[in-house]
Amino acid sequence: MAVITIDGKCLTVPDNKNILQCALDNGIYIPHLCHHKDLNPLGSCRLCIVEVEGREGVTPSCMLEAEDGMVVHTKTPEVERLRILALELLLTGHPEDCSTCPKYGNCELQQLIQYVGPKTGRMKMRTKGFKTQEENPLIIHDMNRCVLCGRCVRACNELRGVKVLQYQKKDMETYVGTVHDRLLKDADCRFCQACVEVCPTGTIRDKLADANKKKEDVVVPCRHACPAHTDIPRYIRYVKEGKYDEAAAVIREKLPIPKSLGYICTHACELECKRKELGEPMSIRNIKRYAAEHDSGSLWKGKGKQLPDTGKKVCVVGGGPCGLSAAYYLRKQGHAVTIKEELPTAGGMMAYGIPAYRLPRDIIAEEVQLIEEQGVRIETGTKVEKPVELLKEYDAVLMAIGGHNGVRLPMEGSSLPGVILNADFLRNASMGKETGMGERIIVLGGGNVAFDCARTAKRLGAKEIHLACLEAREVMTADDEEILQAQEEGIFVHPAQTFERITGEEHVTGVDFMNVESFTFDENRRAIIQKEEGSEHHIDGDTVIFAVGQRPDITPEAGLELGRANSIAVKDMEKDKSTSVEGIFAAGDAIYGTKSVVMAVESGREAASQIDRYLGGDGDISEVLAPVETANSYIGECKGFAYLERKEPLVDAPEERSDNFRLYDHGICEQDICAEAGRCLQCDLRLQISAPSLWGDFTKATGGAEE
Amino acid sequence: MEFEGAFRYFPKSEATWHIVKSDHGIGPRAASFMNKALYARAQELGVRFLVETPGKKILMEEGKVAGVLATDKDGEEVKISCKAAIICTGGAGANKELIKEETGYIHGVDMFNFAIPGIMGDGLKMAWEAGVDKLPVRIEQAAVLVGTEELAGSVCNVFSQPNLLVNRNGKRFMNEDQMQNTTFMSNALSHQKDRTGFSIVDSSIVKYYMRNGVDNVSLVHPDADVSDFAEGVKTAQENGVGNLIVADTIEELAEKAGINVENLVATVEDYNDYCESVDEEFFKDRRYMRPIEKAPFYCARFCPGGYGTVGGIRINENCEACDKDFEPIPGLYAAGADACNIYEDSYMFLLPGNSMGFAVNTGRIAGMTAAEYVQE
Repeated sequence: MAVITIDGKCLTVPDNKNILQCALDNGIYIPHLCHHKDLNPLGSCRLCIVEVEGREGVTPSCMLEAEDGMVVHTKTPEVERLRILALELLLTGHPEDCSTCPKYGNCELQQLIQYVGPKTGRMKMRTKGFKTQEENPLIIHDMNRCVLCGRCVRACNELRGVKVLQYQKKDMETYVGTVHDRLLKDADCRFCQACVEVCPTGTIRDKLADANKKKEDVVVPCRHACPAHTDIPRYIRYVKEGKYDEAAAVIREKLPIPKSLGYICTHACELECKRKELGEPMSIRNIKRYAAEHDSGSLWKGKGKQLPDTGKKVCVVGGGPCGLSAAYYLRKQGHAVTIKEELPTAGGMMAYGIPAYRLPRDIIAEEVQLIEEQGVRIETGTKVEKPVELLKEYDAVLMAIGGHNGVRLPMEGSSLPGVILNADFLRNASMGKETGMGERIIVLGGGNVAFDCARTAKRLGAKEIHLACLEAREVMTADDEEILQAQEEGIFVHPAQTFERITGEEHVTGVDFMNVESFTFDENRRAIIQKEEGSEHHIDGDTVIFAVGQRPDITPEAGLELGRANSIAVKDMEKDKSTSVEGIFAAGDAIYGTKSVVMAVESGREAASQIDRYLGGDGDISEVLAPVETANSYIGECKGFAYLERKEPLVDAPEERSDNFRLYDHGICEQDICAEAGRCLQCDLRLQISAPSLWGDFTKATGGAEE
Repeated sequence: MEFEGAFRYFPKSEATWHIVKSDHGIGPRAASFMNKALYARAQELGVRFLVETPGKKILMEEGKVAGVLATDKDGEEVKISCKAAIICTGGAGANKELIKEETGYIHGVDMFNFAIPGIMGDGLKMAWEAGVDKLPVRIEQAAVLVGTEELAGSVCNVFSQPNLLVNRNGKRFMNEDQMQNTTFMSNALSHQKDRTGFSIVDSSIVKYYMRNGVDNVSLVHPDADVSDFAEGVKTAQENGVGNLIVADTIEELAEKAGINVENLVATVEDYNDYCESVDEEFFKDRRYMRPIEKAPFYCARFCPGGYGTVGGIRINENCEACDKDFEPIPGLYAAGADACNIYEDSYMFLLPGNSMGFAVNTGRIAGMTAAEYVQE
């Protein structure tokens, strides 16, 4: 250790640590620009210069190693004079006006100008004259603003090891760019955006930057879009390294049913993945599935949080993804939990809505069993009519009954024999019961559930299947994948149709349609539909399946206040899931309408936290299962990185899959999984980079900078 | 802090521009010294500054201000109870949609105002939500050379000189000597097709300027030296920046720029005639009548610009925010750009410095009035 003095303040610091970092770490601000905590010092900007007793002239403090007995002065007249000069010279090649710059208010150079106070107007200004490079995805290069601090070059070469950015020369001007000014994707850039993170000015900027959103949410959009905020980049990294146990542990910190989700999650994450700016987004759901399926459980089986018994009892009504998740976490908080499930098995919509060819029943059973092994009691075949009565036996009740009543559209013929509701149809099919379907099916609806109905009908042997919906093809809510696969299986898809009437006297004979010209919603959420004149047409059929939504199976007799679309009313859908009866909470589809399995899981988690607090706990259901380690920032070179194509899963051909309920999507194979995981931009590494040290961070109280 | 004095901006204006004394004579960033001094004094007086904490909503109780809701750096809600709230968030210069809705101009197409990141009109929205009367949001315009940030100072300087200014139709539309009053110029531009005008010079004019300096300078652009104009144009051409047009004939220039060819040729002919006698169209001072004859010819485009938006919140003489019946809303005040409703589209450039003056003084008045109110 060395004892040094900076501006009269005595400090004990490690030998050979650079004086600038010693000062900053001890509350003393020395202006600097090219210096960055995570990068090797360069000493080029000359702003951090100091005087050392016993030495001539000035020395940049970032290159000055601490020695015992060293006495340093950071504010002598000569130092201040030279510092101002250094900044003025730097500014001659920088745009004079801050007010037109997108980095205004966030610029380290701007803050240095405030602190150092260079006198503009003494020197002749010049414009470097570079055209802003906006042709690259994700990253903008505006070399007119570059102050040649070299941070991006060091970050790219030394910190990340990708080695794409170098100093280039154009006539007399030096700038930073790729060899031969190639586009970033052709220079093998990995778009890790470390350059954006370290750039102190508005030179290298994030194309997706949004001042109105939290930085984390913009930088790692996958994690933000996931309703459960699963740490996606972290588990993708583990999968790439072949560490499936670790990957699965990361997922399990947020999701108790990773396998099921790996099969059917609606992957909001993929829709926000930044990789899509280069081509196809990451195949995140399939990576999750692979990790979950190759996980031995070594990091979480029998481990993880289990608080001692609290003596409190909770009843969860409904054993779907919401109820199961809530029950799991409540049990881990130490409460005695019982799930009362109306149907013969737990699983909810996963087991009685989503068909088996998308989500095999044994997978659901496996994950339900894990929840039971944690100590949750599940009573199946039990319907709860009066939830309020449960409060006699339980300290709290959670209504997680989902939305299992299909909506029947009020229209001519809607009650004819041969008209079936989506939820009933799928439930009967799942239980192997008679569905009441004929041979020529017309499904009304354009979402994933409608396609589940159509493709289930196909597998049950229907001869001709039509699916019609109000929405135009581009705005159909079903996944593109579903629509394509359904069409491959021979199902006819008719977008942009209004349902005029269901024809038939004693029984359904078909449906009359008209074509939609335009379809919008007004400010009051009312549909405004413009029909095409003279476009009436008819499709024959003996069965009509309504797939236009579902509502919770509950009436006011249950004793709870109900809200819009027969939902159970709660004080705040996110923050306060308590209902009109104290002690009874509600979550999942039952409060906000049909959304997704992953949203139901997150809703169950939130409910568990709130109920735990209600019962006297701290409401903290978080747990650490995966090893806590910092990701390796040196990601290295990867030729053709931007051109790597998304690996697709192995899917059985239509002829093989359309007549049975066997799983047909086998996920990404072993040979491809590492390559797919390797495509990830690792956007989260950006957040590991140290924040800059600004003069405003050092207050007078710590003996640091003045105003 | 001190002022250097009160100055004119251009000869025909009044000397109302109060320039703050900086440590380097008259030049850019002078007002920052005033801001620094105000900030230091505020801290001395015990004002608490919560930075990175955007305000979201004015909380009202029984029709009076009761507090302000904000979010902190981590996105957590912050509630500040207060009897009075002063809204001074600086307009909505970065909000393209709001600008289009309120003014009809589209930022980046026919309006090039300063758009400081984050200035989205949050204060305006909070006030309107709290029941304040909504007044039109405007941009007090000042003409700007499109592509100014990418061009050398001398290039912009040359094109801002009073030579030949035409519209898309190839016709002159104002006395170019008035170009110094960028408000007048912006106003005139707003009435042209595509809200745009073209400043044209020939090589003789350029040569003259490069040798002798330009005709008109101002305190903001005091340097008459444009000797590096040719270099600046060359760099701009090579890098494809700044929208400059260089051509060997007037016809070529007109075609490249999108100006009516026939009309421009006729205009230039007439203009050159006037150079020998008198400007029969606009009676511009003979000094600035230089003929456009020698190739290559240069052209740059001007459009309306501005500092951001002004106006939107109705206030009275005490800077109290008022509802549509002109009744003050108890405890609510507004100052600065958010409350500056005195302009339509034109900055009163004959009294330069007046929007800063408005800001500083409404701030002061709002503060004084609010202080009285909370002590009641």
